[in-house]
Amino acid sequence: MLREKIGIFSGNTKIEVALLGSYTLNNLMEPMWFSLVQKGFLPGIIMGQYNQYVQEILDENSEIRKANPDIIFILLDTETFLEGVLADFQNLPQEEVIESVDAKISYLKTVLSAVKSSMKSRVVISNLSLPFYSPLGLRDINSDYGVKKLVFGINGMISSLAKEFDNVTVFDFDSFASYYGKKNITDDKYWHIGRIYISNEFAAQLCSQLSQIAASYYGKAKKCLVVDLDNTLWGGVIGEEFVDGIQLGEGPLGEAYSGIQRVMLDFHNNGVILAINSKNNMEDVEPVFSHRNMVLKKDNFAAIKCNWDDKASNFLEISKELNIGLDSMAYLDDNPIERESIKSKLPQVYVIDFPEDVTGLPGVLKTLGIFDLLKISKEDKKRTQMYLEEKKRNELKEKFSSLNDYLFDLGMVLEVEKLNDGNIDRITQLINKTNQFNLRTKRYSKEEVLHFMNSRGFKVYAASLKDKFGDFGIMGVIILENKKDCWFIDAFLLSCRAMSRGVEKEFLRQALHLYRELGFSYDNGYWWLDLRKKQMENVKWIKVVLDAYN
Amino acid sequence: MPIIEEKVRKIVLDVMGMDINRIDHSKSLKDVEEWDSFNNLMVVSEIENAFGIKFTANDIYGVDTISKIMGIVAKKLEKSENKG
Repeated sequence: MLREKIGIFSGNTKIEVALLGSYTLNNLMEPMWFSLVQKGFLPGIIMGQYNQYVQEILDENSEIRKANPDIIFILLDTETFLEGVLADFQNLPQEEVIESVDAKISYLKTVLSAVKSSMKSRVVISNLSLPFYSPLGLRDINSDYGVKKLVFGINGMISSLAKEFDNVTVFDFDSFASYYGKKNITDDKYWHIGRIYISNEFAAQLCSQLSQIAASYYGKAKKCLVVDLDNTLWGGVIGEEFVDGIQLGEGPLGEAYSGIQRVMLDFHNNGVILAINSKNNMEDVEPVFSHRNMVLKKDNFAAIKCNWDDKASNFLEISKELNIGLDSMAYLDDNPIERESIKSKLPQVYVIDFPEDVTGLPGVLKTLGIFDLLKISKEDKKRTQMYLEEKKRNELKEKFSSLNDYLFDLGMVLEVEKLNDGNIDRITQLINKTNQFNLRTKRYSKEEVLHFMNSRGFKVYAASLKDKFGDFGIMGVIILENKKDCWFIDAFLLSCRAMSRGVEKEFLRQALHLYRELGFSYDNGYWWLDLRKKQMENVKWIKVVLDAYN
Repeated sequence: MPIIEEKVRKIVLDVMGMDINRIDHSKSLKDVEEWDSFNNLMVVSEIENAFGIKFTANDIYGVDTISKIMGIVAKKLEKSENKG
């Protein structure tokens, strides 16, 4: 029924997910579909049967095996997981309990191994909710051995188990359950009648958190937070009340505003790009950055638009300046009219619900989750710094009349290195998210890249770039394949920030050089590209480099 | 009563894609093909939310015809009105 209401999403990524688990999950199907659509997917969902997840994965003829979905969610509940243990906890010898727990964990290991060896799926597995009831009562937490310590230990085991598999991620279900309330998320009546563990009321929240993991896998986490200033980063209007008049850092409201800024600083430290879009005069705003309670500094913002233009057009400019799509941006503004205006003019932008009472806002931001990433590369963390360096480069560029003089003055240093354990994550990230300059746009998972590392027929090189303003880190990848009588460029891509500086040619030259040094003869071979004519036009220079090399 | 009937009809239509006006309200739901035990719970949950009432587990077990559902809703609404 929801499907008809939302309409068509042509740009969404197709994804197949399976929901499996130890309790009845049918009521999660629709909210899961809705959540995934909201995060930019076009999902197909396969539902597991009640508490059949072990069989469904181990049985080679099961529907799940046949479907081989992109992501398998395994959701567990404490009562079912510890069946037979909790009910008789006081009478069971400790050794027996530990034995039974070990057996269950090794079951899980068998399940995860089966997925790893026979399926392409990634797995998201939930940990267990720490029970609020223990038959030991007060003694539980005060003794060396109790229900809570046991479950806490099991959660540790699940985390360690997940670490053994590079395709497995743990979902912190206990944290979810605690936040929304263990008493609330389960309606006992539905649990006893139908083993429904998550009541309909909280299904959407759970699915939203689960689908954020999918979003992170697929690079669909938001990358940029655009904020208004007055009554958003501080209380009051800076143009009227000036630096001494605003509320920031002191008093209940002032604390809330500095709380907002602290969460934003956390975002910034995780690689989220911050930008300002505010109806203000820059000369009024400038002094606030030296306010004693200002958490965010001017350098934390990659782009600042303080003017009286339409906010939507400012948005477009920020998107252009930072080279990020509108669908990667979120917007925070206290003014409902501005929020509605952005919603209607730029529907791709995620507009954050601003609570009526600003003291609730830090909490809203903390549980937002839309920026969450499973992995952060060195390059992600330095993103804002890179934008600021780029600004300085552009300023320098304006001083030079010729591009060559400018490039020379930049003092660029290009280094090419082989694929290794230290750069594999960044290389995989680039392979999967680079769009603008990406010959053949081949996408490879980390496992596939690992396979290249151990295969003689493939060579993978990464280029990193430095200049006098800063370090780009790894920004280019080339994959070469040995095809009997010729060498084949399987992939060649560069982050857009490094383009149009002659870097691409230098990278290709150096990679070819390294490749030859490895002892591959290329006398009889030729480099070739399986590109269509139209694409060839844009990459003619590659052929020029290749010909010169041959 | 007609308002209750219309609301319940909409809920069942939403959850199961089935129009209850097409079946005999005293027919046992066990004999209705589209009616499965899970969806039965979903219907009850939606009814609870829509009317602001709570079924007990016993109520749910006792529900085996459409008219019984209507009866329970009406009774619960009456009770809560008397209280209010």
